[in-house]
Amino acid sequence: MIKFNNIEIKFGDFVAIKDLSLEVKEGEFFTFLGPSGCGKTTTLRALAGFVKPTKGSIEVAGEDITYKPIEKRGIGMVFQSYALFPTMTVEENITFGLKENKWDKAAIAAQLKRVAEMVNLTDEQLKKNVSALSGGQQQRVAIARALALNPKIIVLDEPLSNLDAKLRKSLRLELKKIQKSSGTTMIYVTHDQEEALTLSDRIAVFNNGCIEQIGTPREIYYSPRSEFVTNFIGDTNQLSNEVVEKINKYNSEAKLNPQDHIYVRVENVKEEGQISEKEKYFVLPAYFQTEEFYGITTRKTFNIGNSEIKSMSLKNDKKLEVGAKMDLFINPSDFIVFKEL
Amino acid sequence: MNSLSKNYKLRRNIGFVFIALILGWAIFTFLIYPNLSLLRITLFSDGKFDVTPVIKILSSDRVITALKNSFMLAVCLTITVNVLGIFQIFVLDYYEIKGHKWLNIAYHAPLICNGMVLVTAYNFIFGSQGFITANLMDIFPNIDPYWFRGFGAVLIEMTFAGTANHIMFVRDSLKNIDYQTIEAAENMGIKGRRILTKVVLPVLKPSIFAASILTFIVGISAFATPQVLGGEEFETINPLVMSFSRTLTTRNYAAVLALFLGLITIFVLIVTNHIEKKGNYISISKVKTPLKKQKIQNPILNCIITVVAHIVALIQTVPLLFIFIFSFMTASDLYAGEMNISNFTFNNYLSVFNSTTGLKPVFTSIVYSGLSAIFLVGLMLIIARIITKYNNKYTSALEMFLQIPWFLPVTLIALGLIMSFDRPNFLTFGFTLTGTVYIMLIGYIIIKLPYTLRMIKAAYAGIDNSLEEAAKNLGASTIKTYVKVIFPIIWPEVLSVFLLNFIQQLSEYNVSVFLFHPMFQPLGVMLNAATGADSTPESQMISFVYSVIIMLVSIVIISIVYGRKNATLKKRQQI
Repeated sequence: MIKFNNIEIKFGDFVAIKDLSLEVKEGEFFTFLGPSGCGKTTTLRALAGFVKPTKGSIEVAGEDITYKPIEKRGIGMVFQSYALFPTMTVEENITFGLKENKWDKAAIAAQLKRVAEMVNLTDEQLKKNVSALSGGQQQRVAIARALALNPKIIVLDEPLSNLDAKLRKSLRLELKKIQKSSGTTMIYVTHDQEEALTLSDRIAVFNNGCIEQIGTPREIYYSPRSEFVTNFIGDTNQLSNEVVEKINKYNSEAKLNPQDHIYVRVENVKEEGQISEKEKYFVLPAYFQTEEFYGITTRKTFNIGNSEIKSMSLKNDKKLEVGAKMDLFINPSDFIVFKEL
Repeated sequence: MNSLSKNYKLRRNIGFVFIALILGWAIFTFLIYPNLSLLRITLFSDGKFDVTPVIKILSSDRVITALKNSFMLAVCLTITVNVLGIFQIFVLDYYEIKGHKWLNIAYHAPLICNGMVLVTAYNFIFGSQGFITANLMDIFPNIDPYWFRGFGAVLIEMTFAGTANHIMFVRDSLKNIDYQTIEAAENMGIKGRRILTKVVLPVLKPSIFAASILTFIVGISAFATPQVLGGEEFETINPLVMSFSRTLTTRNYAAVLALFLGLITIFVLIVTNHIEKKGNYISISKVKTPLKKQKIQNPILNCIITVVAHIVALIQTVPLLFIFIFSFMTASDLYAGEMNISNFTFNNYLSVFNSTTGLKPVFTSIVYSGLSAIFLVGLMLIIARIITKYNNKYTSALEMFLQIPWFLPVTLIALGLIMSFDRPNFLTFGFTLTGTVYIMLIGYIIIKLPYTLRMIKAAYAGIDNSLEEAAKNLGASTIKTYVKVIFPIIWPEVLSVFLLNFIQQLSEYNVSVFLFHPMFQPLGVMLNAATGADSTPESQMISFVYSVIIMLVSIVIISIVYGRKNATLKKRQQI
């Protein structure tokens, strides 16, 4: 459906995107995930036509759209700031594109009703000025406006980042429903890994203008292909040489190379009572330091010599004294190892 | 790159070249060439380099005194206007002072009654034939009828007329102070006056600095006030430029003086810009809390400040009231200093409204002010758009050239136009402009270019780029995006700039006096003529009616502009 072929984007001498290739399938919810300044928004804007690639091409349904004017691409866009026209009502905002594309009045009215229902906007809200709406309602208008022209593709640039956590979660679910019911291909930009993991069919993890990994949320989470992805997705411990040597010391079968870069996710660091078959795990003596209570989960920090290791568990029955000695358990299959080159 | 994109780029480049050619011609012809002409006239006589006029000017005691006077006035005015302006904004927005509503209205008086209107008012109240002077002479027969004359009179009038910048801009900065910074200072044990000097005033520094520069330029290029109230003992440069420019033999002296004035202004601007760059304060507050008014704890100090605040308000509003009353009086009552209500008459109004000659200056000023305001807004909508959209060395240069009138005294601009276009010129396609009805319109446009550009550029800068992108993404063309999305957003600001330009030009004098067509005298020139020794009682009485018309138009426009601004602020606060 969408193909980025060896795209390069430069701003002056600065190379924002380096030789990027990517394919998005029809009807897919695809996420560009990465930290600020990694090039995900630039890539999205190149697809929408706001940025011109210096090299490479972009294809949509087999057509080269690299230099096609923005207004002729037929790609809907939801902006981070919503970009609602402040001098217009909600209805005028949603129907703006329809009028510009010369839809007849009856079709405009029917389409307005359809998209307003999709995003749960009432008739009363449609008559209001956009500045009179709350952040969540404004976001619904922005989505409705992008949906109105029945685009095959909608791109969303961090559309939920201005909302509070609770609203973000509920709108996230609605967005997914809208995408499934409309069958639109959606490309979503975010730096929020939780958003990316919950919403996406597939994710591209960006770093420094390149794609580090493309895969389903599970592939990205469980099989990260680079240290960057390992660190960026989930909560991860990078084991110091000291910790690696201690694991080797206390577990005769452990043959970990301290020169390698070894990671373990916090939820895979277990305490006694959280595991059934002890013999399958490496043991690691540690001293309790602090805990962070998150309600459902609790994260604990332990000292191992001069190093630290974190764990995450669902239950928090045990009240530990600072400095209390206890054994931690790690299943060897949970180590994520990157060999030293 | 496909052919569609190439065609678009080609069309866009042709458009840019066309606009650049027109702008280049206009900038060179009306902003650069007149100044070069003045230099030529000053330094070259009959095609030869000749500094005789410069030497003659510099060896003239009268000129040196005028230069000193202008400089002294500018420095003193900058101090007095700042003291008065800062006092006013603190009385209005920082301290709890009784009678806030009345004070707020009174302190806006310089926006309504300024320039030639206020000079006329002071002249007919405190001048040798003024109403108050006549009454004083009844009580103290030996009093000098010219008691309100000279440096002091000029400084007082210009101080009370000069606080508009503080009321419009410095006040906004004070209102924008984050109250949490004051609370933070209190939390650290700092109190009252220390908070004022250490927290509040440093934040106002940039806007006070800007207001000071503008006040200095007003002071150094003071024209109408020293001409009317200065008398022989306090002569400044601009009236001297005016008198030299009237005869052909002394026109080069006028040019030398005007250039001198320009050089002083540029020098001061360079120095002040350098100082300004050393320290600037930008608010870094994430969530601003509105300013809360402070109580003056000391009851005696509170009483003194309240009394002074109300006296200042009276001083600023009394001239307006007097002009209004004078407009219903007879000339004989005015000269006798008698305010006899039974003699009040509409004759002065009838003289204006019942004759075409009486109404002609009103129409002339309305047409010139209106046309220049429309042209300025139209032109700057395009230029400011280009400057904000394409930020490169060419647009920076364009912006710099359009700021030229900001650095030059208006007399220099006016003189440059007169002397450059007094004969057929290839730059004006063989036309002579001096003496025509067009040259004053050009002058009006030039002097308001920097202000209009700055305000409209600020309006564009406030627009989120993604709005334009959203419109394009929804299928709107560039022109439709502008018409349907961008323009409706900036429209309120554009209207405000248009209206403010309009009222400021309505009583314009400094440029008008050089450039007006004898058949079409504008209000500013008529008002000034009424203050002259050779003016008739009828023309003097009619000048009050003109002043009332200007003030009424100003009141209506200021109400529209500020009413709209306050309504927008309230709406934002509600949301």
